[in-house]
This record gives sequence, structure tokens and C-alpha cells, in this order.
Amino acid sequence: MRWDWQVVGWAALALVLIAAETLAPGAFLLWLGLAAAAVFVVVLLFDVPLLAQVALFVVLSFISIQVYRRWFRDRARASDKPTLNRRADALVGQVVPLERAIVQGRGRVQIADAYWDVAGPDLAAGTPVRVVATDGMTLTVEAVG
Amino acid sequence: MTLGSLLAAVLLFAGVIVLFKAVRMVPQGYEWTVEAFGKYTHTLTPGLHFLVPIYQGVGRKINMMEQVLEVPSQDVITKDNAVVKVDGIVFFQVLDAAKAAYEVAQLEVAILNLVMTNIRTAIGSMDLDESLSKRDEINTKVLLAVDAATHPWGLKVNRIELKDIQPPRDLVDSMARQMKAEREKRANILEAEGFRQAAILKAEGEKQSVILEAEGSKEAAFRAAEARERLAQAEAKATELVSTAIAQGNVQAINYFVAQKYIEAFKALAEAPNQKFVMMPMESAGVIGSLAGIAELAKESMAGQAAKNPPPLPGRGA
Repeated sequence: MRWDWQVVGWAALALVLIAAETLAPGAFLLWLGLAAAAVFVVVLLFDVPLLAQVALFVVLSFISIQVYRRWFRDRARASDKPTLNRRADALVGQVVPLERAIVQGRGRVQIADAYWDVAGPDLAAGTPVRVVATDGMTLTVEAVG
Repeated sequence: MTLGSLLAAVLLFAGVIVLFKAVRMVPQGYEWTVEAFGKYTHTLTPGLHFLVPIYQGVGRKINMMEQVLEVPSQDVITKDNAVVKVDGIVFFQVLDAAKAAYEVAQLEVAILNLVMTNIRTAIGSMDLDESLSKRDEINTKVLLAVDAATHPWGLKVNRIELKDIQPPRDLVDSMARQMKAEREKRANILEAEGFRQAAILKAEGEKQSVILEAEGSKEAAFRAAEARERLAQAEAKATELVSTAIAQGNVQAINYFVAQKYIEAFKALAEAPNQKFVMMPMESAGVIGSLAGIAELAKESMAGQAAKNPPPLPGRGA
């Protein structure tokens, strides 16, 4: 057990990083703070050279972030709006009339104010179709019923 | 400061920088592209991501929210050579971050230019009146053209709206004058129509009243004629009665009536208050003659009576 400027320094760094996380939330200054806290404990108990302390801190930072990614993110609460900012994906399941007939697999529908290109079996204009999938720009549709 | 502590400081600095580059947090509403030594590999969705330090790096940060662009006001010439000022707004959204990042340079400038040229094309094919009244049609036309053209850039153009179509000042003035004249014309026509209708109604009324009046006098004439006919019938009947009476009796009987009338007329003459002088007709002698006829009638009838049953003795008759 020793209390010199190195030990106090690591403790201070850990506290500052954890505090900074609350000011600028990014869920990753916190992991640097935790790494600093771990180094503080190691330095407090063992006599480690400064270079090793810093190396330990850097390695622990990467490890803590990876552990967070592997461990905690899998358990993170899923978004209750999974199609946020994914306009096309949000349309899957909708039934709309064809605005222009599907000829050779390509047609057009109008949803809200926008016109979307659709792909699917050849159908006459006005036929109600259901959006079943999307590749981001084009909606894949099938005839209803 | 020892060499060891200097090395430690450098290691700390480098480690933190690499860490900051490797751990990236993408905020909701954005997508970041990842480049491995400058080549696009994949796109980061919102959330925390870990990149392989040095090898991978973030390329472009693309806004995936719907965005609004103002289309600056521009002069457009219509089919009938009127110069109008047109401005508008575009709503678009990036659907494919990678395409928006690498398929087009200066995305917003590209969209704006596309929209402006398409507005010019759409309005250039229309008359001024048409372009003012068919704004929806222009919007749809431009939207379809721009939407199709921006597909390769991973964009969805949701809406294009012309905010203002402004014809030149003098044209607006004459349009207002035209509208006013049109309304005045309608007012005048309506007024004239009203007068015409009133005159017709009045004339019709007069016609009706004249017809009714004529009908009335016709009816009256018919009735008067009928009355005269009846009178004549009555007179004929009277004459017939008299003549049968005469035929059965004596011709002298007629003289009785004539004398009676004569004397009545004389009575009236004599009674007239301002009549002091009476002219006797030339045939006075005739009248007197008729009186003589009466006397003769009386004599005859008396004689007849006396012959049938002798007159009662004076003083014994009833």
C-alpha cells in the first residue's frame, strides 16, 4: 500500500473520465474511466513501472469496450421503433393500389405524397398489392388475395 | 523526467487517439460509411461501433432524416412568352447512405439544379393561365422526373411544392382589370334581362286587360241583342193577340187603342209645366175621325147587346 502521485493520479483520472461521461454521454468515456480505476487498484497494490501502467490502461480500455460490446449490447433494450429513419422498411405490410401497371416486373405506387418503384408479377393498374420486402429503394409487392 | 515516463506519456496519448478513432457512436438519424484504406466497405447504423484501428475509418456521415431544400426564385418563360418568377421547396430523404455518399458529389446542389431545370421544363410547356391554375399537375410532373433522376443517388424525393408563381406586375394588373370587366359585363346583362322581363310582363298584362274588356263588351252586345229579340217576340205576340182579338171582334177595336194613346199623349202635353201653346198635328181631323170610329164601335156593340138581351129599363138596372 502506497499513496504517491501515481496512485492519486490514476484515481483522479478515473473519476474525471466517469464524470465526463455524464457530461458528454457516449457510453465509452465510462469504459476508459473503468480502465483507469482498474489501473488505480493495480498500482495501489503492486509496484508497477509507469510504462507498464500506461500500457495496462490502454489495453484495459480496449478490453472493457469490447466486453461492453459483446456482453451488454446483446442485452440492451431493443428499439420500440425499429424502422426509424428507414422509410422503405416502414412500408412493409401495407396494401396499396397500383398507380401504374407492373410491366416486365416494374411498376409504380403512390404512398403518401411519394411515388415508389415496385417490383413484382405483372399486374394491371389499380390492383391492390401488398408490400412484402424492400431493398431500400424498390418495394417488392405481391397481389392481395 | 526519465525516458520511461516520456514513453509512457506518448503511449497514453497514442492509445487514447486510436481508441477514439476505433470506438464510434453513430447518433439516431445518421448513417456513417466505413472505408478500409479509402475503400468503402460497409455502413454503420445508429449505435456504438468498434472499428479496427488504423485499417478502418469513418468516411462520410450521412443524414438519413427527411430534409427540406429551398429552391431559389428563378425566372421562367411560359409557352406564351410570359416571364414568371417561380420558387419552391423540395422534401427528400436519403434511403441508401453509401450511394448518397459516393454516387454524387455535392448532393444538395445536384438536387436543386435538377428541380430548377425540371420546373422550367414543366412551366415552359404550359400557357401562363395553365401554369397558374395547374400547380398540382406541375408539382407531380417535376416530382416524378426528379425522383427518377435521383434514384441512382439513393434518394427518395417525397414532395416538391411550388411556393409561388408570380407573373409580372403589369400582367397581374391587366388580369385584375379583365376580371372586373367580366363581372361588370355580367351585371349589365343581368340588369338588361331584368328590364326586358319587366317590359314583357307589363305588355302581357295590358294585352290581357284589353282582351277581357273586349270580351266584356261582346258579351254585353250579345245580351242586348237577345233582349231586343225577346222584346220583338213579346211585341209580335202582343200584336198577334190584338190582331186575333180584332179578327174575332171588330176592326174598330183597334181605334180604341190608338185613341187611348193619343189622349194620353195630349194629357202629357197639357201637363207639361212650360207648355202653354199646343200645336195640333195636321191629321187632327184623323184623330177626331178615330173618335168618331169609337162612337161607332160603341153604337155597334150596344146595338149587338140590345139585340141579344134588351137593355134593362132605366131605374131598374143594377
